[in-house]
Amino acid sequence: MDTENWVLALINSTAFLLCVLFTSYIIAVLRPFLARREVALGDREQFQWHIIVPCLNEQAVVADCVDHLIEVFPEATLWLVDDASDDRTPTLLAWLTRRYPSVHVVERRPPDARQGKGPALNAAWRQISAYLPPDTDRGRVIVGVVDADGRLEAFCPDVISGDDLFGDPAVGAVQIQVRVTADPDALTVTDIGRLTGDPARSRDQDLLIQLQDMEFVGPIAAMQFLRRRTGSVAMGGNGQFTRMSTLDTIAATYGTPWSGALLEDFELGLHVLLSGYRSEYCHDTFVAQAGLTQPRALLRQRTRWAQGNLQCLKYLWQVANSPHIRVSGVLEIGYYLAIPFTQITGSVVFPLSALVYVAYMMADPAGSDRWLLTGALGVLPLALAFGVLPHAAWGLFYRSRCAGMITRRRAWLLAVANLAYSYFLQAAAWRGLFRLLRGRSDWAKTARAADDRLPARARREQVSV
Amino acid sequence: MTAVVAWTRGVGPARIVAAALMAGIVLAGLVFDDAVRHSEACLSAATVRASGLADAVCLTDAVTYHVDGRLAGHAVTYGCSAVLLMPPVAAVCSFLALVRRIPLIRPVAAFLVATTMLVLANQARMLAIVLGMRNFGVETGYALTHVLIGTAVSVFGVLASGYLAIQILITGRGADAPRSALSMRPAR
Repeated sequence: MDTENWVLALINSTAFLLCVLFTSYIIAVLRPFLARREVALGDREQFQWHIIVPCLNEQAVVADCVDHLIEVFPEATLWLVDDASDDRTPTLLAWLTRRYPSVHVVERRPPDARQGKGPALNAAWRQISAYLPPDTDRGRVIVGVVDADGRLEAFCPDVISGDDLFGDPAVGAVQIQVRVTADPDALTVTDIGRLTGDPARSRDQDLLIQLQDMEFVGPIAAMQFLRRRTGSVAMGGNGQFTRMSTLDTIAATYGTPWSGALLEDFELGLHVLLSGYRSEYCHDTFVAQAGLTQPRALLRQRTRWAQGNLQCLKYLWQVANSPHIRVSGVLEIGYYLAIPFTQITGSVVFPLSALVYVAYMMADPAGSDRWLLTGALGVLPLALAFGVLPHAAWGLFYRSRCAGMITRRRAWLLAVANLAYSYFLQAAAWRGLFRLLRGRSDWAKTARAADDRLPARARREQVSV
Repeated sequence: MTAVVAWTRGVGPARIVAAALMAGIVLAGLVFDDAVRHSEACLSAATVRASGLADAVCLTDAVTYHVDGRLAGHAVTYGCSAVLLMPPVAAVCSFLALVRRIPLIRPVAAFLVATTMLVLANQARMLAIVLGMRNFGVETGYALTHVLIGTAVSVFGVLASGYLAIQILITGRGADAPRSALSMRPAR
């Protein structure tokens, strides 16, 4: 076997297979995404609602979030988990409990505190469990998770109470659409002045934030639509709702509802499925959250996701053998768990393929132009079809299907920028793998853009707190 | 050690053998590539002859024939062999063969259909090259077909093979009827 030819063939074949695999996955997720239909509204009064808001140094955002939740979701009991914050969060939370009777604080202190989001959510689950009267129908208790900078769309509880979602007793968990914006309030307000005003327009938003929004309402949402068909809908960290009885079942099997993976939300989703419940995705309502404005912060966040993804590989055998998960779901989950590996492999073979291409072109004795004209030029449309189009297409879908308030020019800009964004995020897979190999599972919370400013409300109330 | 024995007993010898066979066949194809490429070249020559395009013959990994009175041909290099596209199919099918709830016939059938499809698509790709050379001349025909059209045929082949394999895996008994938690415990 000729080693040089063997290596070249391996590089080209791997690049080819990755391209076809990725493009076919995009086509597979686009079909249900483009054919989606709205779900019917339900009645929120059919359920008892509890919302957990994990708080670790959230002084800049938590008061406004609670105000918002009380306003759009007065039926809900709020559980604010103070994970040993060392800013003014504890003071703000104490003030909020005095102001709103439906707000409760779950205090976590060292050494139990700051063990990650999962343990914080488990602490809240224990308190909710103790708070519920013994005769409560726990199948009608819904526990939601909203980040401290999150804003729920006003009709969210009615939408997820519908017959296709929590109205169906087989549904154990629902993940709603996540929107990312510089100003979450602007997306969730109901007064016409703000809906039509400048804050509601997304065209002038930071490009990085808009790329995150495009990712959530585009490819991530499309993946969820495919998962609805394969029965493998995944949970996200923000805007996840789970039936209390489902959390109880998971806790009975695994000790606690949320476990130790860095991607605790995805892990919860797996546990929901493994416990025999259906999970659902709802695109007709959303939770809005503030986007990350710095590439470094984004890379940190995605590194955590990639590492969490790799940690969840341990469930693959269990998933494959579960009588509750369809084989199509097994394949989808397997593909998702393999994504960090395909990203890592792609980040090596794609540049190498390009290098080999250029090297052959330069070294051809008949000249580069001759080499290109004798067939090699055919690589360019293929690279365009497989390497560019699947990423760039989302810019156009974002305008037509997701957020109409951007210009055509902005959509093209997003299409081009999404290429760089997608390849940039491949670095996260490498970082996640290195952290996993080094046995590091600690994590510091991703800093919010709002952390450097105190909200107006907090400043106003500073005297009375 | 005890865990491995328990796992082996749980999975069953037939499944382990089937999984090892599927992975082993592809691995052997990668290692003994000369023999595989020679077989593919001979199959290609037979296909070209059967299609009436030329009186092709195979010699080791090359296929030779006359185009416009000139001796021409194509070689099945390592990069041109279908076997390089098979490892993902083997990995998925071998893994699923170990899963007891999936009837063993399914991953085995998926493997056979997918690999056959890949071989056929590769043959179609080579046939397209011969067709291109016959219709547009040796140089132009080869330039037009061996990368762009050839790769398009391969893409179709990989997609078709993947689609068929997935359809075999996800349809039928046990594949699409999950047991709900509600059927196992009383609703609260």
